[in-house]
Amino acid sequence: MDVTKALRALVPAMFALSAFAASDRAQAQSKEPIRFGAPLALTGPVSSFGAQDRKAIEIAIEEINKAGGVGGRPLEPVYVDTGGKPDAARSAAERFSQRSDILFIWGTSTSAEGIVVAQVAQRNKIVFFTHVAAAPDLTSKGWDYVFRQNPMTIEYNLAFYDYLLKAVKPKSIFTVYENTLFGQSNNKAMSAFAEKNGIKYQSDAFEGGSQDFRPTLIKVKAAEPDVVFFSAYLLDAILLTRQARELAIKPRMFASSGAGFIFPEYLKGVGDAADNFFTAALWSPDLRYAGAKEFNEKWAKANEGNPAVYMHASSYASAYVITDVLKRAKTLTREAIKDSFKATNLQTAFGPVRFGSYSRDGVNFVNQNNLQTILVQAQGGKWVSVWPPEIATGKPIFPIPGLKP
Amino acid sequence: MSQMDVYVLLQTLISGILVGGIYCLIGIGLTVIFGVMRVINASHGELIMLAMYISYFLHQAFGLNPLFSVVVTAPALFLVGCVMQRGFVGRLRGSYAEDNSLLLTFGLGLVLANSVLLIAGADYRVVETAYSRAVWHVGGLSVSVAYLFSFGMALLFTAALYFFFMRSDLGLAIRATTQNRTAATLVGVDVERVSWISFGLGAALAGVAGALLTPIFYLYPTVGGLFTIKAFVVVVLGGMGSIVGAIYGGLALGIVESLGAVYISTGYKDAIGFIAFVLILVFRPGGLASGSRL
Repeated sequence: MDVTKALRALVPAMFALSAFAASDRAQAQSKEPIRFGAPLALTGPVSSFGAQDRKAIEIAIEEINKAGGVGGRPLEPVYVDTGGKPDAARSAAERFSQRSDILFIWGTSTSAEGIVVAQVAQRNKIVFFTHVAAAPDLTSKGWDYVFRQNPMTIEYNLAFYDYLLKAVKPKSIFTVYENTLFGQSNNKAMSAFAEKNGIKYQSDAFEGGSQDFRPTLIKVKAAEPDVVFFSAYLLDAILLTRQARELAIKPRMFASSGAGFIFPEYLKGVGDAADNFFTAALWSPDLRYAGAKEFNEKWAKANEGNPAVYMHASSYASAYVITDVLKRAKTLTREAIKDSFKATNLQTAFGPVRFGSYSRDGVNFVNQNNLQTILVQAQGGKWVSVWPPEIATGKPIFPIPGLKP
Repeated sequence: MSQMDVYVLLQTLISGILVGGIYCLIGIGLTVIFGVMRVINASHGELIMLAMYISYFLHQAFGLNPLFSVVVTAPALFLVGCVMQRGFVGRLRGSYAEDNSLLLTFGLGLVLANSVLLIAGADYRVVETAYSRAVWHVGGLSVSVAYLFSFGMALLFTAALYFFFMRSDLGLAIRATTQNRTAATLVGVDVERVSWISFGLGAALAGVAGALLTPIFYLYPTVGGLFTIKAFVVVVLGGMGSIVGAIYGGLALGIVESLGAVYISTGYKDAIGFIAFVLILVFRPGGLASGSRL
């Protein structure tokens, strides 16, 4: 065989092939998806959050991609299951940061994971855009690359505080909270509110998953508070409610901080034990926001008729924020995307979204959306928005029949 | 002491007794396998979990009250126990059999938990029945009917076990096997048969516990871990080889945890229970029931 002859044929062949390859790549380039990291809890104790958030954003992404995506390119979230564990979230965020095709990170399912992802993102100069993690720490450290669409725990209860001061005027509050970052920050917030307003305050923490909350509830009953406030994730919320009724605890009002209580599974799981409970919420399908009712209908159709809750709405809306950010970005690089996030000003089904700086309780927050929170009440087996009257469409039932007047 | 202080003390004690009753129920199956046969079954909690899932799915599919599902879970778990013993635990031979059974059953527990995870998913599940929320109000104190019933069943089964071991031929055969395997063979006991029947019996009792717990606990594939730990504490605390011991052990653990949680700290509830466990064993190494015949 004549090697020289073979080689001479090979070289032009290679050029021809590479031309094809290049044109193929050029074609794929225009449909190359825009990817972002999505570390979520898809298994484990908070898997209901992660799995449902994913479902909600997928509804929006399908709509957005059908309408052409961003400049013809579809959005493609890259999901990683963290099991709800901060360590897993940290390694997912590190790996996303190392990938050149990941333009930003979105998520997470708990504040405990959110804070570690925020640290990693800030260190690696990649945007972390959260639609649901609520502990204040994420936006109080001056982290330039961290953006938050949802209100913080210290704001969750603002409508609730407003209602307490205007309508309930309690003399004492007892908080029962789960012992991780979410519960602890809720407790801190309630404690500060009580102190500022001269209200007697007690609290007790529990381990999530302990199944039996009676020792804590016995203490609650003994304290005879006006308001009993729970902060728990779903299954604990159900057992807490059942056991509180079992022990015949009768304050003037039961209230809770959203999270576990806001899921339809909660109302199904407790039956009428939760009648007239109040819960701080960030959103309700019956609010006066354009697109809220429509999103709720889409969600209910895909979820056995269950109404959407704030996490779902925030997840859905965040895809529209992302699309708006990417369309306005000068280039699709991490830095330009950060600048584009900063300039956001969008009306969504979740409410208005603008990332700004402001201070609350003497702490400065950056890149935080200042969204009004609400109070909902379980009326007739459904959560109905009852406060503030400007955006709520229902009326509060108070005093509550069967409890202390 | 004010009226409220009295209320707190009484309600705490009641709560402790009722939770203790649950612990008794959880520990009963292990009493037979570990207490009597001295086989370390680290998958005991997973057996209970399995029964809970069976109970849960029967409720979802047919609306069957979990309490009635006992008639399914007990025989089903009996079979599982037999298979475990014949297929795995019974094959362990030699002087290290006891140590190896820990590792083996731990592995079996992992397989069970992860199989359920694969089949049923990681979602936490809860059953809502009128029974789950039924309460007795006795003079200002609250007693959960579900917990009380479970305690009652634990007592009932303990009594039944006691008579079984003391009066029946099979019970006698099991005790003989435990005391001295060779001697039992020599006097005509079918040691192999005794082994898998006892294991099956222990598992069936775990099946009963699972059905009774479904209305009051929430379930997930790894809930077994919680049960296994409590069951071992209960059995050892009560006294190895003592049928009645599980009752003492369960009650002691429940009451100590409850008092500790209310008067010291809820967060350290489990730690207080374990400290008490250690202390009791220091002063009474045979367990609470040592000194009684069974």
